[in-house]
Amino acid sequence: MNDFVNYLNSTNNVGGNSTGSLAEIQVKSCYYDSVKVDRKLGTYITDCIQNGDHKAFILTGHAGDGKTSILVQVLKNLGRLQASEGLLVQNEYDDFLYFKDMSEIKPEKQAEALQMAVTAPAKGKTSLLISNTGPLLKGVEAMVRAKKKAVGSAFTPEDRLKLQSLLLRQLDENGNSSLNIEGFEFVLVNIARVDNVPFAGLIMKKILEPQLWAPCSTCVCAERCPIKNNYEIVATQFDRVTQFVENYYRFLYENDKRMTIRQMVGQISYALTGNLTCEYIAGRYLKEPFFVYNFANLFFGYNGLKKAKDVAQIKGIGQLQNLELDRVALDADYSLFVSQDYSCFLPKIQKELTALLHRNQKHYQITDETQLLDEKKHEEELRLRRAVRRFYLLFSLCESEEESNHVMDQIFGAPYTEYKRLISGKQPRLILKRMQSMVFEALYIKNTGYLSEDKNTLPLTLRREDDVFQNVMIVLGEVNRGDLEVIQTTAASHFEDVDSKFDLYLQLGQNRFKLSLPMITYFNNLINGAISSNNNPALTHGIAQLDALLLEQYGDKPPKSEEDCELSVIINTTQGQVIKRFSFENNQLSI
Amino acid sequence: MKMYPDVAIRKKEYPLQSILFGHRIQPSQTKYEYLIEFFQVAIAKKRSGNGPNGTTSFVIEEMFPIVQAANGQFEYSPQLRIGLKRFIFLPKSKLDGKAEVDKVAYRECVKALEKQMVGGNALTKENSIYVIQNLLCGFSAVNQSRSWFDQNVLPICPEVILPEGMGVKSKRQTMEFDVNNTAVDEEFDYHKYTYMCRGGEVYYLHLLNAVAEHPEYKSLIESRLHEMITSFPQFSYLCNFIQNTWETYYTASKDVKSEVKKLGAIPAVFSQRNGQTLSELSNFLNSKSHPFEKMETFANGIILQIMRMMYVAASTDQESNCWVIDANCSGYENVEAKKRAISAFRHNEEVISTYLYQNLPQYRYLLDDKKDDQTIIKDAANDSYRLFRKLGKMIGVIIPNSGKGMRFSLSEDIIKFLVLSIIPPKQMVTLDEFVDLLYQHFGMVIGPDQYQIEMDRGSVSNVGDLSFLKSNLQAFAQKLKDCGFLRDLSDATSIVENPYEQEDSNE
Repeated sequence: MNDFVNYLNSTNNVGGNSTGSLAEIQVKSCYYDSVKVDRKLGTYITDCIQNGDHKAFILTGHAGDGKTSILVQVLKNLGRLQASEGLLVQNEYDDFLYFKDMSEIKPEKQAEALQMAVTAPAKGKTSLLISNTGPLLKGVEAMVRAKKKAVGSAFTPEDRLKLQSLLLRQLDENGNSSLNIEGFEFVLVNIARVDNVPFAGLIMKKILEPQLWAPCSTCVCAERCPIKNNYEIVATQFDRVTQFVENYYRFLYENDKRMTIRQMVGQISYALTGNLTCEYIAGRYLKEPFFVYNFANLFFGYNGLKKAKDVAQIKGIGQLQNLELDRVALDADYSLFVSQDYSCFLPKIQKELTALLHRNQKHYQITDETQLLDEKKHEEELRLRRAVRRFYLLFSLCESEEESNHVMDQIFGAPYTEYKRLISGKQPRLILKRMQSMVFEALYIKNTGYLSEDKNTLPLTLRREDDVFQNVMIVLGEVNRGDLEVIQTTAASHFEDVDSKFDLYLQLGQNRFKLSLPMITYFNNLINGAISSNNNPALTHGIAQLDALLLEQYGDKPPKSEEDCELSVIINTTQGQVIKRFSFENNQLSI
Repeated sequence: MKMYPDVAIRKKEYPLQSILFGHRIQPSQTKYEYLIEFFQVAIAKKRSGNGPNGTTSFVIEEMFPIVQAANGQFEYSPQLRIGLKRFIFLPKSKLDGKAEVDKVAYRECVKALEKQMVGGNALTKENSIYVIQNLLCGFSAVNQSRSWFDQNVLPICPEVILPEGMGVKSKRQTMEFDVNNTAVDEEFDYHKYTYMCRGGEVYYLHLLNAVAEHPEYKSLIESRLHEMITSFPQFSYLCNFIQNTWETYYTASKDVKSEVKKLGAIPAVFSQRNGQTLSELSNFLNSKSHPFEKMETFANGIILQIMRMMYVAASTDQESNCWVIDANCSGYENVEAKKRAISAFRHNEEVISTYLYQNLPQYRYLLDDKKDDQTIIKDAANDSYRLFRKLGKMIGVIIPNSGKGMRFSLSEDIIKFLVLSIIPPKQMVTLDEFVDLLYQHFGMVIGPDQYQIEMDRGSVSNVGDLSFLKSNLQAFAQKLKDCGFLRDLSDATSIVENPYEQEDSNE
């Protein structure tokens, strides 16, 4: 029996026991120290206290993002919290003051707590107040209102909107510097804006620490235990599995579907145990345990070929089932499904898949047409393929990084790894140039409807916003290929846990336009022949903004007079594009 | 009913629906035609009506002449430029409307233009004509098969913002082209209101009344509207070149009489929305977006504001005529919200219908005696709530487009207008606040809080469990997110941002 399995099972919200997902209870667990991951912000706050550089920190974020863990980290660093000791609602030391959760303080006392927190540095203390965003906004508003009232000035609805906007902007951008509002100075950190994807690997590493699994090796069920099997196969191919898991979380993050740390822990734990307990396994005979409860199946929310019940409430699984990544056709499909060649897997997995194949093999040929068209049969076949793909995505052996990147690109979109490379490390100019070319070509197609070879200037055309076709368009300016520069900027802050994090922008003179993964995927699709972006209004809106920026930067200045005006139009003809220019002179049109 | 302008309504001047909801909206007007017609009044030369001895006290080109005519009583004369319209639309229009005289006039116009072109041979000249025509025709506002004189260009420059002039078949078919014949360009009827049905005038009057009440908005709104239609002077030059060339050739043009039009009237209760309309409009116009994007969103916004003020006009203390919105986001289907929205929509229509019945006796003496009450109500219903359905569907606030279960919802385009008009540029508010603002401005009920208020007031049906509205709110949040206006910030707080920059200051 391994008690750690029970701990893992308590970290997700499927089934009765989810106590481990509560930060307060987590802290007291004997496994807490084994699985916790230290955060940069925690170290930063500790340093402030120890160096006497006192500041007021207000921390907000999603439930499960690790706000309480940061407080615990600070207290442990200072030696003020013993193992299995709980936290108080608020506590004050000579140099440190904390409020564990604003919502646990009575509403009438909240403003007071906030005031205490922001004035702590003046009293030689660092303070840390953890709060939900709603009460925080109200609290700051009340504080400012009271201060304004005290000095006899009005707090208008416009002031209120501006204040709210200021706080929300800080929470959105998570800038380094402290805010100073009406003399109240504090550092406002939104931990939900910290990139937490790299934690997936760290968490997996911690969870798979051999000593946590030591009891399994002496267990009587060791030979038939799916949990132990999962531990072993994942530990053996740790890098490969982590690569998929991290890439999946990265993909969600870049598509604004970020996972919290608690959600990651929940999904990874579930994928290891399937919420089975040691007692359950000991007392029952499980059919095909190493296939049905395999990490690959559980991670996608499947028990063998069937979807497991109720697991979609684990966010990572729910998203994965919506995305249906195991439906995406792969280059390896032919060898997997036609040649039935499983040599890309380790022998243990090969064995499972071959057994699966045998169980589902048909020893007869279907000749009856009605049977051939039978949807049910098709679905069975499809389910089988999807299961094999799940194994492929998590466990296929890749000889080089390039090869494994190629697998990721097939499911997350062709420019995925290129994009990831660009946001996770400084890249040589050549790679930036390649991205630049792609953006240029996509914009060219978008603006003119064609992609002509060897074009080096991008016409900024005036097009209608609706989908009415125009074969003659006015040209409002031109951009040289070289002027559309793709740049990387560092997103370093005290609170980011990753050191080399970059944002990708299209530099347009003094303006910048952020290139997100969905945007780059859209550009790539445009080049490959997709016509419309109407299925995603967020993109349409982003593109309209890009158009406006391009026009502002590179559009010709509107002519001041008729004599000053040269009208250029681009004409789409069957022979390609023609640009025609007109100018006006004394009531005449020069062509 | 007090009207704006405050004039006495003569017998048979207006039907019941016009007295109650303004003169007038009709089903044939498309959304761009509301926009064009509004601009047509706004940019036209205005002058006071004839005084006792035929004198006019002012002639002015201001958009909203509140100093001279805050009471809304004036005439306006739109630019006609029928030659330009003929040039743009005749070749690609319905055969039926092409009279021989116009075909000849068109050919003459092309010849005159070719003469005014410098450089190139006959073929390139011909090609250039074709190119210019296609360029302008590409901005056609309505893609329906219509006669050339019923067509309109999007307001890409002031020169193309033209009134509707109906070519009367019987007159034009017998006409012969002659450069000295004024009838060629004059013989059009500008008072038919077939497609430009005066919906734009209704909106203009509402804005004029609003600006008169809040003059602090005047210069901002005027200058932003002006910028919207003058961003591309190239089009102005091109259109002037065509029209001037035509007028030089067609010598009778100087004798073609200008047209004088008079505005209708709107009920004074529309002024309840004055402040809101202006604040929405100023936020919207201050958001820096591409002029075309702005134009399209504005066209939707005009319809939305018109619809709302008409619903408000019919509201009472007990019946707020609020709009229960079914967020209708795919993946977040919510049967209960749909059901409630459908029944609320039905109730909205009952409120308007009651409003018609209640007011009939009071205004019976002004209406046509030959028509019985039933016919009057039927006509009024057709031009009020039945027409609102059409308007709502046109901009996507009423779904589905056909079939049962009509209800209020919000399309992506309308969401864009709402965000841009309620939140100042580059500012953000929480989702809860945004939903509350939508309620205050447009009576939109999306979440449980708003429903509760309406329930207490008695204008929506009583429901014990409001949790379906929580899901409805979530669905709405997802929709906002899909449109790129919402971001999850942290625990249960999302922000709605107007992502557009502030337009440069007027100077």
